[in-house]
Amino acid sequence: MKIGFPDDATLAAVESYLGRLTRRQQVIASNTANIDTPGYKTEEIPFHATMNELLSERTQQLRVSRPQHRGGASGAAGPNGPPVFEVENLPSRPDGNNVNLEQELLKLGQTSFAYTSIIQLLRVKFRTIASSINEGRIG
Amino acid sequence: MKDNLIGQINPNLQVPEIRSPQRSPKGADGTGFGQMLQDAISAVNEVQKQSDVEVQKLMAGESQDLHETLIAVQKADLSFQMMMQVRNKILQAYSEIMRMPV
Amino acid sequence: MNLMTAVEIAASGLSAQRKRLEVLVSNLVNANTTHAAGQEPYRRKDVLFVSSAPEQTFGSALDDAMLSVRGVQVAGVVTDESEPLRRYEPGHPHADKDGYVLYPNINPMEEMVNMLSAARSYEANLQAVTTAKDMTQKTLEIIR
Repeated sequence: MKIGFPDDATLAAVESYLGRLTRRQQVIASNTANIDTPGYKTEEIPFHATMNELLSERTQQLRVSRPQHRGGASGAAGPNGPPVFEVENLPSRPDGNNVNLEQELLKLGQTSFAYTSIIQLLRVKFRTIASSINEGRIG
Repeated sequence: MKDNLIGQINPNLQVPEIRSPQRSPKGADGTGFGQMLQDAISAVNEVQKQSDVEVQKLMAGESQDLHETLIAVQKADLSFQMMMQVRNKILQAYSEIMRMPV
Repeated sequence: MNLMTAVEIAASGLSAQRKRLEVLVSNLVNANTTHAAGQEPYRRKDVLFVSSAPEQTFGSALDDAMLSVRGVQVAGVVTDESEPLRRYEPGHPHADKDGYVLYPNINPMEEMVNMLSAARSYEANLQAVTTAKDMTQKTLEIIR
């Protein structure tokens, strides 16, 4: 008899999405830090993701969990994580930089709100499971 | 009916027999209560170990994300609670059967 | 750990903008310095920003190196090589034999605008730090 955890697929997808939002936040921080770097182009990780995308990202992540020795160039948007895209059709300033500070701040707020909301929903879910275990307990 | 409760958890321990002709419900095919309990315990062990590994990774700096560690810890905790309830129910069923006449 | 990477990135932005601000303030303060060192007028300075590569600077987590997340660094301070302004002020102690004084080629208004921009960028980086901190605190509530 195996103790299966209910909703394992949803939980895996949620974990993966939280990871995606974390990386999205990193990219936004990159864009913000490089607002005045000549030639820098804005990058982005898509905010929405399908279940398939999330689950496949997660299995790839779990497969590559050994620590890697740093050094040597690593490509962007690897097989180990959500895809990173360069944002198209953004106007550039004379120094070649196309980062829009207002946009980045908006995305920051959007990402943070989504993240905290999902954590909250996760808590409710765990509480529900705990209740279902402990209701009607014997002793 | 003062059976050794600790002995009841470990099915390999010889339970002192109070009612003479009755054998322990752990039958010859090994799929009795003892086996069920064993399976449940080892399944939870797995989850606990996974949780410990995640915490170790966090301390070693190898952890990718804090939320992964915490979700693993939470799952381990809930699995453990579930195991406790399963254990209680198994013990209850066991003692009910032991109470049955014959 | 990964949210902390965002903090490191934003911190590099804070540091870079602060250095930029220092240089701009120096320009503003020295807008009228006719003899900065020796006989030359002060020359306008600017900072050179470059993206910093993740392998060199940030975190140890595996897939941070896979993502092209980058902070920013001040690669150097460059000096403006354009000609100083010549103003006709024969009574000035630093006037040359023709009565001209060399002034730094600095427009105070421009430096002020740049300073405001640096301050705004600084604030934005600070916002990134605060947001990452809030997200981390919220994460801990999973097990509360």
